[in-house]
Amino acid sequence: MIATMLDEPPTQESEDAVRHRVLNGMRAPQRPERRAWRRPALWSGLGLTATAAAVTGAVVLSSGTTPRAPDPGAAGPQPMTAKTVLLTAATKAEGAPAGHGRYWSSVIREGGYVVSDSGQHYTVREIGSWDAGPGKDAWVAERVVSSRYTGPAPAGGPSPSGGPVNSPNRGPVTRPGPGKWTKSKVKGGEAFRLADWEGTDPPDVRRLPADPQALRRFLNRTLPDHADPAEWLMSNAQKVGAAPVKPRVLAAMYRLLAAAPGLRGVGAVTDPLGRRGEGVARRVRADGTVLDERLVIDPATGRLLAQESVLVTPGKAWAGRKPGTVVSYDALVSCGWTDKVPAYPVEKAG
Amino acid sequence: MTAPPDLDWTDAELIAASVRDGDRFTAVYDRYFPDVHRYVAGRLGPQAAEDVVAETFLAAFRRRAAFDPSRGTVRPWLFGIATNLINQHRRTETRRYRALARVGVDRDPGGHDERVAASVSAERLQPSLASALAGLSRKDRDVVLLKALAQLSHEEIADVLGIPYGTVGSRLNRARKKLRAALPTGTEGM
Repeated sequence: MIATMLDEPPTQESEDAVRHRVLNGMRAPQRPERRAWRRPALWSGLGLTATAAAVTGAVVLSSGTTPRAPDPGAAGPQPMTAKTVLLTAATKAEGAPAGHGRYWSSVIREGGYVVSDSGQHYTVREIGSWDAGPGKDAWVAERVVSSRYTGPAPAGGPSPSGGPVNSPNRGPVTRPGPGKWTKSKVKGGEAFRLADWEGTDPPDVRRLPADPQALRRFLNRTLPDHADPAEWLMSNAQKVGAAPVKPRVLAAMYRLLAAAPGLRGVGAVTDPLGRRGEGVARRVRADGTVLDERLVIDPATGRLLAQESVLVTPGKAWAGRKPGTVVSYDALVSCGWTDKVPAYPVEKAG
Repeated sequence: MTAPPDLDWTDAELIAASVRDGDRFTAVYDRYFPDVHRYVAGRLGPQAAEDVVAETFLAAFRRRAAFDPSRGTVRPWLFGIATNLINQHRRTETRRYRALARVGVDRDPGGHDERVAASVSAERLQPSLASALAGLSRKDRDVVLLKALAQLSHEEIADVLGIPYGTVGSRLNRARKKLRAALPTGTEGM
């Protein structure tokens, strides 16, 4: 009862400000304790300003408000580090309610360049899934949101990013508006397993460990020898984020990523659905093409909003595309437990 | 340069590594921030907690070379630093408990059925519990709150405060009696 009465969970701002202050204090040259004790008020303000700037993307700190002798580490609106973004997300995700219902539902919008015989299209689709679990009923639904002909297929072959699956488009068709949803009945349980598990048996997501160290041991044990857990997590984060995992498993995934090398914070970004979030990126290279695999996280909820492949250097595979192009993405439209499957028309089998 | 994953390291290993590479201390911070914050903010309130939590970790960072794992673990060490800093803010602390004691004084529980009564009972008890906390001696309060907020074991509390193990138990008993005396009869648990 004492603990409940006195509970004062830190706000996001306060958590960021304290972390900022401690990290800066650690990096500042050692100084007498007395002076260090008097500094925090100044750092506190700076910490908050820098955080606010990172979240809103605004450039702040006019000369009039800049303290006379700012700490070198604290001055200027820098993006939050990947570690800060991920650990913050872990804390938020952990507190999320688990929810309940008959079906686990997720709706994902996926977009990207799709190469087919007839040329290249930029196709955006939405895929929904309502799954009551193994041995029970499940539905998947799909609609094409848009499809735009972007030119003949490049000579370099299919996209290196393993973008969205093959599109049924034939010919250079540009679809003006969203198509209709259709659904079909499938075997239950798919949503509870992580597909494309690097060629091994996909595990039941409900069995993923909720402790970061245990999760890492699990990944090390389960993934093939050549797979790097950090790389695997980066490329499967969206799947885990949209799967019926316990909030603590999502938090453990963020914590593992926070400890992984090679991730950087890219500051405030807007996801393909126009939602603001914090970006964390990992650079990958293949045959002259350089891509940033980017996660967009909602700092308020810890929810993983989207996963994007952003072009850095086009190389042969993406010749003619501008750096900064999002060549493919998965954005989570919604997910959670529900009792209802939408009344979309049922697609006839065959 | 990004530091390699620190998840498998023990606290003591992290502290030792941080003597050479200060950045390693970040992992210690990330591990203990939630617990230290809960403890400090519980005693001093959210505003003062920002200063004291930051200063706790910075003080630990400055003293990390002197940390001796044979004399105890990192957890009580951090809570010891935090407790010393909290005790420099004793007026802030008692002000906080008095403020909590005022909340709800004028509140009329209103409802008649038992469910409503149960849900407001915690709120009704808050004023007496908060003023009882304000009335505890510093020594007793340290023990009670290291237990209730920091959830340390008797052994760890003995470590933090540098008192014998048996003294932790006797102080805790004494404090609990005082706190219970302040609550209406028949109230269970704290």
